[in-house]
Amino acid sequence: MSLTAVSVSTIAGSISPKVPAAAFTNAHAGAAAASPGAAARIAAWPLAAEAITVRYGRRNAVDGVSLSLPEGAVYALLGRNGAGKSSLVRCLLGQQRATAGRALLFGRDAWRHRATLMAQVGVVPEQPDAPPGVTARQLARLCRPLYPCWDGSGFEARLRRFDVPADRPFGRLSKGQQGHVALALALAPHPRLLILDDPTLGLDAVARRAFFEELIGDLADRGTTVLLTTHDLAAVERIADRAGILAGGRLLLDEEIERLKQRFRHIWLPSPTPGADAALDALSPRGRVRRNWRVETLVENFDEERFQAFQASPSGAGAEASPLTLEEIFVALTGEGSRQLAPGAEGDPR
Amino acid sequence: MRGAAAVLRHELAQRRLLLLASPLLGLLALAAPLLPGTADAGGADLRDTAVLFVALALSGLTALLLGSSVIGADLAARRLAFFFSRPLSGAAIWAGKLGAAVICAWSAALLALLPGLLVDVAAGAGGSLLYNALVPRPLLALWLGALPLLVLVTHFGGVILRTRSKWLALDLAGAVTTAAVALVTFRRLQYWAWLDPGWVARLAAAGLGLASIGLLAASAAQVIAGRTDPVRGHRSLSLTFAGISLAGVLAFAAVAVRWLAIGPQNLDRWSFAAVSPGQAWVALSGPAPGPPEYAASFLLHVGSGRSLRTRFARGTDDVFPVAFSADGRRAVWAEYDGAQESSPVVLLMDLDRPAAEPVRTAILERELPGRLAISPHGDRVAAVEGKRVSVYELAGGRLLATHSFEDLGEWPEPVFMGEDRLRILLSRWNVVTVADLDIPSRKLVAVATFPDLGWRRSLSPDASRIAINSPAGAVAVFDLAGGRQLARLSQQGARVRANYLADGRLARQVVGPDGAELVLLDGDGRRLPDSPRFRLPPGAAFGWIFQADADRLLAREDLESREGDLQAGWKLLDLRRGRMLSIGPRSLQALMPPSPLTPAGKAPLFTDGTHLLRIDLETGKRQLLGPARPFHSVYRPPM
Repeated sequence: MSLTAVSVSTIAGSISPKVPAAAFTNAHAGAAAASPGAAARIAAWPLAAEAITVRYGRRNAVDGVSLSLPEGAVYALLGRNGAGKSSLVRCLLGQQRATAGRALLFGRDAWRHRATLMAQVGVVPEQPDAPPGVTARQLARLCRPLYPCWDGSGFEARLRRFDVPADRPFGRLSKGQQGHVALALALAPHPRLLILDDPTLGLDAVARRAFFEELIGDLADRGTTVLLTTHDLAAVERIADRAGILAGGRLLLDEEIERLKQRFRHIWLPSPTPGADAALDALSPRGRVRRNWRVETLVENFDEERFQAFQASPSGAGAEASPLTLEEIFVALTGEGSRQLAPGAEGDPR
Repeated sequence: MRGAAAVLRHELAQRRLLLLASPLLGLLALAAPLLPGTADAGGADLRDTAVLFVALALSGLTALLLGSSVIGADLAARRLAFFFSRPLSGAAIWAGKLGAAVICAWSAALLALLPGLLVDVAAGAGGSLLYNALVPRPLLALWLGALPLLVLVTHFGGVILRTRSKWLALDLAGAVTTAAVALVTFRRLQYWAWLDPGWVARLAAAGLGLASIGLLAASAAQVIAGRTDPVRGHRSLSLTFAGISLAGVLAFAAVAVRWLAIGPQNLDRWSFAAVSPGQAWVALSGPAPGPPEYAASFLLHVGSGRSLRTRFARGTDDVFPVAFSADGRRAVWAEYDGAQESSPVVLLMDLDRPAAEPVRTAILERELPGRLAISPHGDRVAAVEGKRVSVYELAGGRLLATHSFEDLGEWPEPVFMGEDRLRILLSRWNVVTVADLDIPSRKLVAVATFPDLGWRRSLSPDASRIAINSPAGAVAVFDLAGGRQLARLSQQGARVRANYLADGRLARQVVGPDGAELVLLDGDGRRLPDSPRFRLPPGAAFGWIFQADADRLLAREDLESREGDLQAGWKLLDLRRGRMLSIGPRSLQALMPPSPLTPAGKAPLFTDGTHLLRIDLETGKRQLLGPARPFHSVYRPPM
């Protein structure tokens, strides 16, 4: 379940050499892959991707991505536009056949057993895809006989909470209302797995908040496993316990969010001495940038003891370390500006 | 099933307005007689025509629009994922959506017809146009059957045009290849197998069925295998349709090749078979395995076994389709240039080379000649087309002489008397007229007229005399130069038959209660004193009689039974010794020249049903020549 190699982008103005993929091993999978029995257990988890590759022509939209979600996990799959999230999600939903690798839902091949598996999966798509001429109530009428368990009253209650008219055609609802109908439809059959593909794209702040409030409520009630792709990183920090970052179709990172945030630090050195660069190198920085007299360094695997030793050295006098938000980590890993610099180079992005 | 039903219900509910609008449009059509300028038209007929038109147009339009959009539009707008995110199989989505499109199209037709039908029933429906269109004629049934096909076709078109992926190239290539293979195969079949309209209709129906199956499977594959991926869907659609249609067409082509790649030994039997006067070639044809009425014809070179596929046009039972020159060096026959009923072409083949190939002559005839006669040296050919007789030069196709005859009961019967004169027998109301066409001057000279006794005629080899066999069992011999009756051959209580032999003598047979007796007469019908008598027991008679050489006759013995004539075998009649020998068992069948006036030769050809063989009449030795089939001649024996 570990990645073999990962190309890494860095924060704006900084650059780092490629980082060994082992650094971003899926912790769940890594723990379980120790034995064949554990591997089988992973395969039976609500969701597992095994080296999925999706190719369009000569371009790899998804390139050997592996990840797995245990029961109850809330996983945020992050990535810039075109990173391959939607292609991966379609593979996981059995809607698209992977060029290589396979997607497993509850231990069964998602492509082969899609129709059966969908009874346990709720889906909110990136773009509302319900037929535009049909009302939310008619959509519920279509879906009700398809699921073993359908919470009709819960569906109606959610529409009321979202203030969505149940008898208005789907195509005449606002984008936010369409997203809410999609969420209500996804939650009504009490799915064991919820896959949300950028569900708040284009929603205003209020609709977005309502969406996530509803989602959080459901998670709290039933402990549903969730795979969420989104650009709303603030919301991810609120609900997800784990995140993966896709860039260029490859999974750069797959880690618990708390651990991720502990691992990444900005180190500020206000007045660097001639030997400061060499001393900073001992902290294994991903990249650095010089701003006026100050040196700003991103450290990926922050070690408190080594940092204290650095602070105590003459080169590290006055150095400070500050944590990064998930958004800063995301930008650091996938940001466009850093790609303009050669690996290992220093620069001044002013 | 539950999933398909759910999708079907959902799709129908989405189109409920259409189902409501259909009867309203049908009601509107009822008002057609009220339109200005329609006062002269029959009110009920106009009303029914309008209702029918609205029903057909509405249902067609519904099939067209829904077929092209019910899946294609959802796929293009990425809305198909809504269904694939539910516990619905691809088959259920496909069946539900396309099934709803078909039901909507059917419902639109029936609901639009409903007001008109109710009005008709209220008015006593018997003679109304609408009632007639619905009940005794299959118009509506055909239309209702065509609507699903229209849905499938438009679905196919909707998907490929919306996707516009590289698989469009396969669609085009597949369509062109399939159409080309089908067309080439069909044209080859039509060319060689003369498909009748019923078979063409069956083939067209099979093609339509294959296309329907292909479209049905392709549309299912597009949804089931392609799911929400438009390109993959297009690929599945194209591969399935191209695969099925191409496989079907290739199977058709393979069957056609099997039907067409046959030799004389593959025929079910030989129906026409005749040896050229030189005994080098056999012209034969017969029914072959394949479509009904399929027959194939060949020219078989006896020495080498090489067979040449020909398309002898089918003549009547009495007319052999190939004419050989008396010296056996040339053969001519007529074929349709292309498919049946296309313009005819006359082919010529020199028979003196085993590797000979037929050559098209430049002879132009509007219709297929019913009879052909070739001059003794094989330089000229007389073609009978309807009531017209034309003489052509074979080398250049030049028309040498032509004449049309009126009031004929049968085709003119031409016989060359040398290269420059053509004797023509014309049957008119129980009268036979003989005329000579002088080819260099193109003048027609009436020669004689005599009564036609109504049965088979036998011309003497020099065409100077004729023996006419009457159904009553008598024979009249006439001199063709002046029409004088030379002899009347009859016998009380017995049937008399006679035909001329190659040396100009008449073979006369008397069939009575005591059996059959054969004697030879001179050309005028007079008894030859030294002619031996050959007898067959009661119930048997001589059939076809050929002269092998001056001293021997070859005769077929026929057994008369309730079921008709049965061939009993071939007899060798030794004229010098007056003996009759059996040449072989009953299963042995002789292949003789097309005319009894051509000597059969000293070693005639036979078939035992499996082999072609030659029997030396001197020694009785048999020589196997190659594979053959049973020969059941379609000719009636002249005796």
